[in-house]
Amino acid sequence: MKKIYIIAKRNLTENLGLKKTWAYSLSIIFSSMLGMKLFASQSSSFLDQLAQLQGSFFIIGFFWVIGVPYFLYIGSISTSSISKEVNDGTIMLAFTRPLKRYEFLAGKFLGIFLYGILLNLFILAVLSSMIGISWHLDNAASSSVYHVAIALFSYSILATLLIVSFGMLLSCVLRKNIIGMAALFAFIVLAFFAPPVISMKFPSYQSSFPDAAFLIGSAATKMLGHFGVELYPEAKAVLANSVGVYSITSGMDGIPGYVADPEPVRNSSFFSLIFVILLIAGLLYAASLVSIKSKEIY
Amino acid sequence: MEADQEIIIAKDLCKSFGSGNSVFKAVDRVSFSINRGKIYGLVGENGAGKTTTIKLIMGLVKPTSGEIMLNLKAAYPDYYKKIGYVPEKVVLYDEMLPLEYLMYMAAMSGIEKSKAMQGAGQLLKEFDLESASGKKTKTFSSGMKQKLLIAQALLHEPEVLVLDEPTNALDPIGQKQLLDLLKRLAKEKGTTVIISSHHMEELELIVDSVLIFDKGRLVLESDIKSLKKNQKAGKSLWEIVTEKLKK
Repeated sequence: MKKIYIIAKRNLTENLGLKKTWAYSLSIIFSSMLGMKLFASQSSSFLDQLAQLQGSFFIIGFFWVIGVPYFLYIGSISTSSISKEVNDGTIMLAFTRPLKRYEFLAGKFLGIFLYGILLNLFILAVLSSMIGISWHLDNAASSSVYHVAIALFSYSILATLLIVSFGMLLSCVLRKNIIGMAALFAFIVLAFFAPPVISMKFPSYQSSFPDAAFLIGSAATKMLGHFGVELYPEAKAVLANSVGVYSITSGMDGIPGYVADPEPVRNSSFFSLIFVILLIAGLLYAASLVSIKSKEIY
Repeated sequence: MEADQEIIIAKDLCKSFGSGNSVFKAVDRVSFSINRGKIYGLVGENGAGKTTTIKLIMGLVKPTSGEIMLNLKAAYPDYYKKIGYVPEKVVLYDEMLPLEYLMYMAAMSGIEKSKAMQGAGQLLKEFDLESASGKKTKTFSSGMKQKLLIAQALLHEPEVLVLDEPTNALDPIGQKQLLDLLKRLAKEKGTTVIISSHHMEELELIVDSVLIFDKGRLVLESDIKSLKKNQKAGKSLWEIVTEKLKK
């Protein structure tokens, strides 16, 4: 355990000390604030305004802060974690130490995972505070924005587990980082963008076929529910169209049915969703372990 | 430690790369034994199979056939506590300070912190790296990097020291310092040393035995005294070896 901690600590401090950490954090914060200004339009009703802020913050958080850029960023660090050491040759000294290969892998995994979590904690904390200041929210209103941030952060733990375990598998199997990045990009496109494209052609797709987007989208919206946040209709419409966590049903006078009856497409329980995500991450990690145990260093 | 005890035994060791018609035999039916407390020189030209043999000893690659046995009275991975390794490629973590690097390597070897600190300090002094202690290793010259690499192999006071062409990046003074250190370790601490080089003339000063490699095969294994008996005036040891190989 001590060696796992030492390797994780080195990875974490090395990544935290890099300029790219600050560049990434600041670019996400400022781009997200710009998105908030664009999407959270002014409303005369305070409650409507708050609902818009919560909804916009969640959508931007889900798709942007802990969405595609985050997946690509942490993914790139994960996909190079082992392959860089192999290409540089530093892995030779790690593998000729009294260190089990699973300890090396676990240390690397933990270091990158903690880095992702701390990054999200920082970005979400800063964003929540900036939203509160920019929209002159009082303590009670700010608290509801912080609830969204906590939900996003909780979801980010699961998302980070998935992306780091997938990235590390690519890193163990593929020697060239560029191929790992290409594979990761293909996965993100398939997971996030394929479902809405497919469901446009086949409307019954998302109601009958659970996909990666639904899995992570449902986990994120369930987190919201646990922290007592209810999304406003337009936010639900975005999620219904993209990741299928809500079904759009017609109602009276053109009011979408999900406003009155916001049920997920399938009644998947919160803990079963978490279990499935943990299982997938665990299987990916196990595959990485099998790969690294048989790895020869030329 | 008893002398003449075999600690590394290789039997018909083979390592091939590729498949079908493009199979390359990097190591071809190599057998040898390494005895405790002696200094062994692995000599041969580039591509002779020295590095692959060393990587087979270190467990970094698996043999295609044959076997390699380590008699170090420890199971994997604990036997690495008794082996120090200096790879051919000079590889360090660029963003670390030298002491930081040595402490990290010591931690991975399971050395207790205070002992590691003391050992690391002594090694930095021994290799004249104290003055560079505030600089990241990426700013080091290749000679300084090589010295730090050798230092990390000595941290845990190994019983066996395996060095793959360690003198390549060193200047003549550095080379002499290293060879003197290896000789001292073998004599005073009974450390077994396996050092590879394509320069026979630098090894002949310190080694007890030589293993000559050519095209993946171990073509000659001899103690240095026997080789030197046949050395005539004006001829280098490598010329004598080359003549023997031609025969």
